Amino acid sequence: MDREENRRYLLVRSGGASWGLPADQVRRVLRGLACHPAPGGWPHLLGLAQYGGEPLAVLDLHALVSGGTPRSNHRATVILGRRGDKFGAVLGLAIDEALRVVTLADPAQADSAAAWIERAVTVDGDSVNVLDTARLFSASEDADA
Amino acid sequence: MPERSEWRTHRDLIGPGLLVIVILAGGALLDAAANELREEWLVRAFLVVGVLAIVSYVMTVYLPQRRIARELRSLQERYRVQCETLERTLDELKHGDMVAAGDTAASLPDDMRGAVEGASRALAALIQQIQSSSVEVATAAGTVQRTSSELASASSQQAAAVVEITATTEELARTAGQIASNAASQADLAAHAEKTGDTGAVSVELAVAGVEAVRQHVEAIAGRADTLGSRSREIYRILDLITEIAQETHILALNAAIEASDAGEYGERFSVVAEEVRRLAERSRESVDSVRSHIDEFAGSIRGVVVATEEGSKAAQQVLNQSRASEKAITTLRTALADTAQAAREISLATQEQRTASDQVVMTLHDVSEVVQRITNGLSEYTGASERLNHLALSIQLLTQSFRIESHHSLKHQLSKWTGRLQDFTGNLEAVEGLLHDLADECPFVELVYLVDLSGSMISFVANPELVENRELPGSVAVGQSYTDRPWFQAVAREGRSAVTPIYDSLLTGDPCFTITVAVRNAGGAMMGALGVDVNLPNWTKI
Repeated sequence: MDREENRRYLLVRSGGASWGLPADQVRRVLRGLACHPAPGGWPHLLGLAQYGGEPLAVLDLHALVSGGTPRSNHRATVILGRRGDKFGAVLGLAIDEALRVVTLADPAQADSAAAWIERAVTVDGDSVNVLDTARLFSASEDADA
Repeated sequence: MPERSEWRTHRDLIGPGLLVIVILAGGALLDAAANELREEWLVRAFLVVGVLAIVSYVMTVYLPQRRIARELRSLQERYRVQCETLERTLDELKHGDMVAAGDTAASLPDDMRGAVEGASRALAALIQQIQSSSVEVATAAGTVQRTSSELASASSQQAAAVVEITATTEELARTAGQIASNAASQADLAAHAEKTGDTGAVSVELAVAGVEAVRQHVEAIAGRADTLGSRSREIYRILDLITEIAQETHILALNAAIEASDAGEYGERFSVVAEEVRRLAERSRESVDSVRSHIDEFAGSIRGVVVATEEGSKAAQQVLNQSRASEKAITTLRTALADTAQAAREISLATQEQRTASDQVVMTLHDVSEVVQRITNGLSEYTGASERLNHLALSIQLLTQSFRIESHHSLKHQLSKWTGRLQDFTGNLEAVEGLLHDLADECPFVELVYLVDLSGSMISFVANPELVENRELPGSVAVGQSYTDRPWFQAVAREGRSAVTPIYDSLLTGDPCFTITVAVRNAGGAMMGALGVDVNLPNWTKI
């Protein structure tokens, strides 16, 4: 029998939905990160920002999961990086609000078939979608390639 | 019984017969004495003397006496003829026919003829003068009558106008009295209103002061509210700063929690602290939001107060402006009321004087009305006198027309001349009618001219169209109609003289008229009929 492992997630809100981002992949939460529009690229690419002296691609989470047009009125940006790779590539996710850090049981396998959603959980009665960050990084790497 | 002339002849022989008888008787006595004395020569001498006496008587007395008697009889005859002529002349004069009198007097001796003609001329001249005078009197009377009638009418209208003016002036006087009374009341009301205006002005001044105080208070409130607004904005800035700090704290707490997660079990306690910090930040933010909400309400209230105070200030300013305008208006009104009161008092005085003057005018108008009425009455009497004068002139004219004189104003003479022309048209009715037409045309005062025969039957007539116009002729005016019962015909038929009727109303025109009729004679002087004219009196002065 598989034993469930607890894992911490950063709860964020974007486009009216709550999302869970793996805390171990979150490098930093920033407010008011200046983002400059970049021509071409992904349709959900909000623009480029400067983080730690390096350019940072910032994606709009809501546009990413809904396929809509990126919005420029985000209030916070979550810097994501691969788990265990402190100095690897990072990616910015523009969100509306960073709520708090919660601990969720981490299932052995993902049970969601929806794109970008690893699974869906309920936190304090609210539905929370856990973002599939591995796929996000893979897609990012494919795009870079 | 012997005639008077035979008696005179016999009387003339009585003297010589007696003389012969005396001589014969004396001779016989002498013869007897001589026989006794035997002296025959004495008888013879006596006889010779007697014969001589008889012869001388016959030669010196009888024959001259017979001649004188014959001359005397001739004189008597001439005297009788002259007396008869004079009688006829006087008879013509008695009937007013001066022309016939003159004709008759032609056979009189020169002195008598001259005296008769002189008397006729003098009488004719007098009649003519009376005639023309009557026309002038009638014309003048007519003029006076028309003038007096017009003046009477005008004075009647004037009297009516004076009555109307009097009534109007009386009404004016009454109105003036009412105006004076109303003006006095108006003056009292204006004075009362002036006092009320004084009170109102004081009240308005107090109101202005009160409104000014309210406006100042409102402006003070607006200033306080503005200050509160400024403070509220400062509070907002502080709340924004606190919110910013809380958000930064929240982010820091999240990053700390994430770092604590990376630290594993070592970071558990730190993550708890980070969570507490995050919660504090969240509560701070919630508190700030709550404070912001309260401040929003407070700011809204302040804005409401500001708006209300601004509106109140504007309203107070408007009330102040209106109050000041009212104050000016009341001041103006007070001045106007004072002027009105003064004017009303002056109007009252003026109208009282006007009423007094109107009363005097009314009295004068009453006098004028009486005078006008007297004038009207006088003019009416004047009109009546003129009418009487006109009638008198007409009567004189009628009297003068009863004479026939050689004048174209003498109707009898004129008609007699027309009858002389008529005798030439015996049996020619068309010529007679034409002559009557000429007569009617020549005499515009004649409304009807007609010719009747000796039996009194109408032969022909002509009506004057200007006087008769389109009136229908009465049944009595017709050819063949008998006029034997008419006085004018009877007068002409009885004496063969012209006649003038009294005045009567014409059946033809309805106007008063009179008729003049003259006999129509033939060349032999025999009467054949009568020519008559009806004289229209309204036009008689055209004669």
